[in-house]
Formats: sequence, C-alpha cells, structure tokens
Amino acid sequence: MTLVSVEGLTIAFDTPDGPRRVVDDVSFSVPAKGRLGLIGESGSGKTMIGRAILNLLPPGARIVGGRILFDGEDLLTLEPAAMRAVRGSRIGMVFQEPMTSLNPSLTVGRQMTEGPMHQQGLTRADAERAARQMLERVQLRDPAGALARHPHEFSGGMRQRIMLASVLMMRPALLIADEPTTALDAVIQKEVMDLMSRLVEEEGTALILVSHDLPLVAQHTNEAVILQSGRAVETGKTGQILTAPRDPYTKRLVDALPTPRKGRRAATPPVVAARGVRVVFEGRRKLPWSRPAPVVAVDNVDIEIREGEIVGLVGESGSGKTTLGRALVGLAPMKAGEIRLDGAPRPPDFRRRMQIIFQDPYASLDPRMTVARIVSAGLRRFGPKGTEGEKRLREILDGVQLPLDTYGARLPHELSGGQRQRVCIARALVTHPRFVVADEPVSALDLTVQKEVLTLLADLRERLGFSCLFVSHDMGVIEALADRAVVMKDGRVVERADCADLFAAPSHAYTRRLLDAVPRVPGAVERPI
Amino acid sequence: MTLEAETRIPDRRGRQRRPWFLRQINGTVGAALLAIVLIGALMGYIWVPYDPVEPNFLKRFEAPSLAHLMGTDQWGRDVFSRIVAGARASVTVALATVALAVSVGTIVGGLSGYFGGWADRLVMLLTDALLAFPGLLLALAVMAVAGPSQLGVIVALGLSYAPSVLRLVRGTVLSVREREFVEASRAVGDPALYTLFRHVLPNCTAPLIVMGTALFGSALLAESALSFLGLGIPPPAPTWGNMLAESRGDFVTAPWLAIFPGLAISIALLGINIFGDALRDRLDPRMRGLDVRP
Amino acid sequence: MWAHVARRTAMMVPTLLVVSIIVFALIRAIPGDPAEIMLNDLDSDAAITAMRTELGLDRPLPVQYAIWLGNVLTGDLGTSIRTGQPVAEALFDRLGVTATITALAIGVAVLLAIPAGLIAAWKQDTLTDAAIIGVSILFLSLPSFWLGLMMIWLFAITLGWLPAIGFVSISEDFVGGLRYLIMPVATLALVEMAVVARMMRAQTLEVLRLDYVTHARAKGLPETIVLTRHVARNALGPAVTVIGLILGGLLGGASVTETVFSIPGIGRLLVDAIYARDYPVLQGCLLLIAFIYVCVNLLVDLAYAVLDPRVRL
Repeated sequence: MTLVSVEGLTIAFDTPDGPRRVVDDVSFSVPAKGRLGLIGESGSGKTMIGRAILNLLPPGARIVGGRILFDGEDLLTLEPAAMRAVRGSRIGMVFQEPMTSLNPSLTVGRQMTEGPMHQQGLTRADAERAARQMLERVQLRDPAGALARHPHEFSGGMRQRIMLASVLMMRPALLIADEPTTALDAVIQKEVMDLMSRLVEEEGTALILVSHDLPLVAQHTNEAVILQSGRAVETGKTGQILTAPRDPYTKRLVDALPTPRKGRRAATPPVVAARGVRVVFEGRRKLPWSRPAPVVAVDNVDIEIREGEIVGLVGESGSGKTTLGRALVGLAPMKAGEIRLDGAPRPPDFRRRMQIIFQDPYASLDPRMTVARIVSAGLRRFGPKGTEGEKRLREILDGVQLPLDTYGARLPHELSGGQRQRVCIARALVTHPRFVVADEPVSALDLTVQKEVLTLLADLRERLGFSCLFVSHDMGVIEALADRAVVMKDGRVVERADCADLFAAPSHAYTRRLLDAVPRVPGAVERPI
Repeated sequence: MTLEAETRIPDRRGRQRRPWFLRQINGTVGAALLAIVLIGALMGYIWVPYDPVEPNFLKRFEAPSLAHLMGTDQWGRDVFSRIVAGARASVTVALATVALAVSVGTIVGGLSGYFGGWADRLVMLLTDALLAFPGLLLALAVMAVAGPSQLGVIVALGLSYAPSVLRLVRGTVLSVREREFVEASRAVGDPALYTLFRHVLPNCTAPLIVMGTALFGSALLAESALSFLGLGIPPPAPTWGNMLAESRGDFVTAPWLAIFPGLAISIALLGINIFGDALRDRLDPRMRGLDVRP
Repeated sequence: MWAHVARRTAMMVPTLLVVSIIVFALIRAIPGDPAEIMLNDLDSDAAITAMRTELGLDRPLPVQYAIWLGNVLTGDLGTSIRTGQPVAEALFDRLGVTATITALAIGVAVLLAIPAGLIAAWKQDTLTDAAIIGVSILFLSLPSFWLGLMMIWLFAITLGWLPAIGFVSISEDFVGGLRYLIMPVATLALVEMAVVARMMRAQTLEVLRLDYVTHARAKGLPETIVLTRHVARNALGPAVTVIGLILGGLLGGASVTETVFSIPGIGRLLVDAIYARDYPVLQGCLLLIAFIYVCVNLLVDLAYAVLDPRVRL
C-alpha cells in the first residue's frame, strides 16, 4: 500500500534574477514500511523535496506545482493546523547538522517531551518516561541523566542519536532523514546508520533517506531516485541502479566512486623524512594572564615519503593528520622533531620545494586576487621571473585545464568548486616542488568533480614527478590513490603499510574499525577502473 | 505549473512580496539624504547667502520668510546660512574623526591581531580600559583637559572611537588569519608584513566600511552634543550643536531656532543610518543589528 | 557556573587598574599646576608650596599615583574645589537621580523593543516589519537633546501638561516626581528602544534560519511555542548584551539629557565640574561611571551565560 506519493512536484526559488526551478516535475512513491533513497549532488534539489513534504521550505522557496499524497490526502491543501497535526506524529524528520538541529538553551528532556505533550496529549511524566525508554533504545549512556543535560554536553554522534530518539518516540509512519550522518566521522556514521536502520525496521516506519552518498543509500534502502539539477533522471531498485545504471548521469556518478588501484611500486629513496615530530598547541587560558593548557596535536611521529610515491594519511577528525601535514611543510610550529628534505634538514629554499593543497577551495583562494596572480605567487617569490615565468604559468594552468588567456583574469567567486581546487593545485605545483601535502583536497567536492580532480592530480604527478602526502578521512579515496598508507589516531601513528596489504589485512583494531565503517556498493567493488 | 497551483497553497507565514515602500527604503533614499548633507557641507565651503557669524541687530528674531528661509536668531544672523555653514563644520569634523579612528584602529589592531603575543595582550588591556569609558565620557574628559576647539573635538572623538575600530579589526584579522589563503601565502614564503597588508587587511574592509559609516553618524551626533554642552567647537562658530544650545533661552518665542538645527542633524543621521543599513546588508550581513552610537 | 563568575570578575581587575591610570594621567595632563589652579591668584608662593606638599605633588609620579589609588580604594576621592564637599558624598547624592532615570529608560525600552523586534523578524518583509523598521530608524536618527527640547516645547510650553525642567525625587512626592520623570525617560527610552528593537530583529532573523527552529516546527509545535520557547529565548542572549551598550550610551550621554531637562544628576555634575575646572569632582565622576559601566557589563556577561548554557564552561 502506498504511504506517500509525490506527483509532479515542482518547487521554485526566488533569486534576484527571478524565480528558478530547483525541483522540476519530480514523482516517486514510498509504500508503508518502504525505504527510498533520494540521491543527488549539491544543487540537485534533494533537500527541498524532503522539506516540501512537511511544508517546511526555507523562505524564498515555493511549491508551484504537483501533489504530495500522504495516506491518500494531499498535504499541500491542508490548513496550517491540520498540517501541524501531521508533522511529528505522522511524519518525522532528522536533520543534517547535529550541532545546530537541537536548541542549545533547552535541556534534552524538554526538547524530547514537547512534541509528544503537544501532539499526542501525553502528561509530562508519561512523556519523560517515554523519552527515557527511547534514549535507552538508541543506546545512550545514562538516559535518565541525559534528559537533564543540554545538547552541547554531547558529541555529534550522540546528538544525532538523541535527535533520532526524539523523532521516533512519536512513532511516525514516515521518517525523512536529510543527510543524517554526513557531518560525522566514518565509524560513528556507521553506528548511527545501523541504529537508524534497525529502529525503523522494528517500528515499521517508512524511510526517505536523502543523501549524496551512493554506497550508504545502497546499504540502507531498496529503491532510489537519482536527481540531477532538480530533475529525477532515474528511478528504480537501488541495487539495480548502482550496478547497472541506465541514465548517463547515473553512470557518471557510479563511475566516480573510487575503486582500488592495482600493483605496488618498488622502494625508492626518501624525499621527505621526518623523525619525532611533535606539535603542541596552546589551549584555553583560564585567565588572560595565566599559562595556557597545552594540547598535544601530534605526538612523536616518524614518517617518510619516498621518491614519486603517494602516501595516504588516514584518521578521524581530531587525529592530528592535518596538523602533521602542515608541520611537514613548515606551517605548524614543531615542539620537537626534525624534517629532512632530500637528506638536508630544512634547506633555505624548502618553501619552493615543499607545497600544500588545502581542503576548502572556498577558503584557500584570496577572494580579491585573480587566478593568474594567485598561481604566480610562488614564482614571484622564487622565480623564474619574466618570460620564463610566464611560460611556466601558462604551462601549469594548461596542465589544470584552466588556460591563462581564458581564466587568468578571473576572480575565485567566478569559478566552480572544482575549478577553484584546480587553481589551488596549480598554485602548489607552479614552482615544481619535490613534495606536496594534499590536505583533504576533494572532501568538499561533489563525487563527479572529485573524480575529475583526482584524475588530474594523478596525471600531473606522472608528468612533474613529485611525491605526495595525501591526507584524507575517506578510506575509499586512499585505496584508489595511495601506494602506502599511514593511520593516525589521537596524534600517534597506529599502523603503516603498503596500501594493498593494509586494505586486505589490517593489523590494528582501529584500522579494522575504520575499514568496516566504509559503506560498499554490493557488486560494484570489483570493477576495474 | 498552473496559476491554480500557485494560489492554492497556503503559505506558512502569509509571506507576500515586499511592500513598495520597503523596497524603496534602501540605499537610494539613504544616499539621497546623505547627498543633501554632503552638498550642504560643500556649499558651506563655497558660498552661503548671509554671513553666518557677523551679528545684525536690526534683524533679530525674524520668523522664517522668503528672505530668511529659516528665520534669524537673537544676533540677527540668518539661520539657513548658519545651518549650511554648520554642515561644513559637522561633516569636516566627522570625516576627520573617522579617518583618525580608522587609521589608528586598523594599523594597531591589524598588527596586534596578526602577530599576537604579549604586545597584543597589552594593546587589548589598554583597549578594554578605554572602552570602559562609555559613550561621550572619554571625549568629555579629553575636552575638559584640552579646552574647546575644533582640533580638540577631532582628537577627542577619534580617540574615543579608535578602540572600537581596533577591536573590530583585530577580531576580523584573527578570523581571516586562520583562512587557508593566508596559509597559502605563508607556504610560498611571503614575509609576514606582506601577507598582512596584501592578504589579511584587504579582506577586512567589508566590516570596516560598515563600521566607518556608522562611526561617521556617531561622530556627527557626538560633535553636536559636545557643542551643545559648550565643550565642542567654541561659539560664535556656526555648528548645529551651538545653534541648539543658543536656542534654549529663546525657543519659546522663536521655536524655529531649535527646530531647524535639530532637523538638520536628524536628516543627516537618517541618511547615514539608512545608507549604512543598505551597505551592511550588501557587504556584511553578519553585522546587522550592531549599532554604533556615541 | 561559579568558576565562570569568579573568572569574569577576576578579569575586571586589570581593566579597572588601567582605567584608574588613565583617569590619573588625564588630570595630570592638564596644563598648569594643580596647586595654582586650586588656589586663586592672590595666594602667595608660600601658600602654593604648602598646597603642593599637602597634595603630595613634590613626590615622584608613581608614588603620587599609588597614594591616590590607595585613597580612592578607601573611598576618599578628595574634596570639591568649588563647594568643599567631599567628592564621594557629592557623587552619592547625584547618583540616585541618574540611576532612576537610566533604569526606567532601559526598562521601558526593553519591554517595548524585545516584542517589537521579535514580531518584525517573524513578519519579515511585511507591512508590520516595515512599520517597525521605519519607526526604529527614525527614532535612532533623532538626537536625544533635540527630542528633549521638542518635547519641552510641545508638552510643557504649548500644551502645559508637564513641568518643563527640574526634578523632584519620587521618594518625596511620588506623583509629582513621576511627572518630572516622564519626559526625560521617554526621550531616552525612545532612542534606546530603536537600538534594542533593531538588535532583537537581527538576532531573531539569525535564529529563525537555524535547523532547530525547523526541527521544532517539524515536531508539529504551534507557532507561538516555536517563537517563544525556541526563537525568542535564543535571540535574547545576544540582544541582552546590547543592554550593556545602551547603558554606556545612557551614562555617557547623561550629561546631555540632564542639561536639557536641568536634572541634578551625575552627568550634570560632570559638566559643571568641567566648567568650573573642579578636577577632583571630574576625576570622581569619570571613575564612578567607568566602574559602573564595567560592572554592568560583567552582569550582562553573566546573564548571557544563564541564557546560553554553552558559555558556562
């Protein structure tokens, strides 16, 4: 029996240039207890659809066509009071950002009970009992105590569990989960997703999972809708869409999933060798004049990157991997340790020979400078200058497919995310460095763009022959790209091995947990590149 | 998409298109009001209908007429001429004050925030202490020491506002400093001062412009207030504050003496406030709601 | 929470020390010899020398500062040159008047402005919003001293409803006192109301965009509860901090308002001290106002911590 059926939904968004359709004639349906994935990259309109079902569109967005039938009733024609009665008790929603989706000034208990009290007429005592039971079911430690605490006292994963509990305790028939785990680390993501899957199963709740993550959706849903720029390009069984895509866009999406590379390279002499690296940051000062508490970010780490090799540096947020990368190129102050570049400790021109590519392409380019100026920064400092310099600039911009004559005078805001990241790559490589740290260079990008940038980086490495430390939280990307991998946890290295060995037989328990947490598309793993 | 579908759907908050006058109260209106004041100030430098300072005892307390648009005061001086000349004094003082506060605040705040360390902590201690004198208080204290004069007003107000600018610039520098393009500049070996002046400070201009505009209004108001108290630009110099102060004895019989200078200040401030709001919506929406006042 | 209170209080101390240094230095920067200023021209050189010794002016500056600070901390702010009254006593006499007007003005402003700002944001881009924004920006642009003069002209002179200038303590004559208070309080409240309403509107707009508000709506809560429980409370925190700023404006601007309405408050005392070159009184006023301002900002800070549990770390 169909629970919810979206028919020809069209949503327009007011922009300064007039209304723009962000969702265009999208139709799908979910049976009772069914599970549907809404898959799309940024700008695909997937979030809008989720919100439209509850009639909670952001200001500026309007539904201009279509019907949303829920239990045979068109939600779009409901009066506000009738719509409120549907929200929460019939359709629940889990949001993306665990940091902002709970009210910081109210206790968890207050927030969990207000829905049931208002919607379902429970007394405070009953609602609190129900909340406590639900918190037990989401495996929160000390559920009774948790009710009296404020959201900021919980980690992101815990907050998402609380969120899940507060939504499911009203026993809705449909749960809309909007990127529920995107902001979480892989291991936590797996725990929360598994928990959600199980609870939905037990309660018999239908699920609409809105996500950009194909493997994740594949694991947790039966049917999926692929969205591109507001249009549904493909609809069908999830497994089928991902193993045998018919639409060209879906094909590109599936192809962009990282796949493990084959073969290993022979040992070469080290380009960068670091011993006993230790980075300590100043923590909070209790008083302005008191001594700050030290925070150890990187604790006595040895690392070596050999000629022409890509070393993957993996770890969760807070593991110190980014700080280690920055310390290697001299951007984070070291308390102890030594870094040798080609055998020499910190040669005078190390800034030319060691470079870094940053994570956020929106923050790493000075918004006031043109592409040509940004990329030639290293040449200004180290040469070559004049015509030789211009030749070098042309060369590298051609290399990242942003020819000087077309793109040289553009400002960063005139570029897409992928183009920006290519400017960052060009900036780092223009001085022909020996060694490059790539700090999560693709994690802010959409899957298809990610693929383009990674391919480009691999090509450039073939041509320019630099060594690379590739910092990433994404095991899939590391497996696809790196020769060797180093795993960090709490500022220390817990495992290092050839990539093939590490992924085949991880020796450290932490590495195993990281690998287990990676969602895999059934049947898609073995495809060659 | 049908028209029917558009009208059928009840909107969550009864949102409608902006009413016309809301669309009109924007930068244009503010800029127009501001332009009137600035043109007035320019006129004050070039030409005014009557001598704004020289008494004319034959024409005391004349009500507004065609010859004297805003009437005459107790010394027989033309109020309109004095208003125009007052615009010159007010705008000059306000601009100089903002220039002083912004340059001191930006340079000290920029260096202090970017380099940090004990010097930064010392600067912040001094800034906090200066900010502990609310509103006009510090300016009043400085004027008490320096005695009334135009330069005194500029220095006093400049010093009162510099700590606010400093704090804003320092805060912005601290956040811009953490952005990755600044690290990229360090990564190619740019010297620290180059990075600060080429990458960091240029990216702090948006909040600075917004604040500068607000400070311009504050300075104008503060100068009037100081003159009103007799602690600003000394009479007989025509300033709006002086005119209001002098009107106090006679405004029962000659209300125009109080009405027009006050209107002048209000129009100037209204222009700056509306223009400033539009500017901040465009440049730096995060600063919305932060009013800088004396 | 108590650690937070203790920490914030401790952080006040160095600020206040530097404040005292600034006040001390300012008065010493006045051209001329304080002893000569305090005595009149007819006094002999011997009298001036005696005065210098009495004031401790023959000692090195840091010693003078230390002695002066010691006196201030024990409540001895010197005596007024003009009236011979101890400065602390004069300040105490005048403080009540200023405090009454300031507190009433803030109270009225906050009570009216918080709901106004909340409603304006909730009704963003509607006529209601436009009206609230328009009125706020208008009042924001009126100089308080002119608004005061215009009120006197209208209500006291033309209509004769209220007394024009002066002050009667409400503890002596409640109704009469209130009549004197209406215009000064209204003048200040109207302008400050504009500031608070604009701040509250901006903060509310910020909060309305946040996920937890959508979450509250997604739970099916009625809009009134969403607004009061989830929106207003979180918007209030930052809006409260503006009360600290307003108080600064009111204290710093007290001289002006009290001059307009001829109210014997601390602001008027300050201005009179400047006119009369009565430096001990000037020093006392500066110190007291800065001290009050710092303390109120501390309280505002702590209130913020109560409203937003994240700050209590």
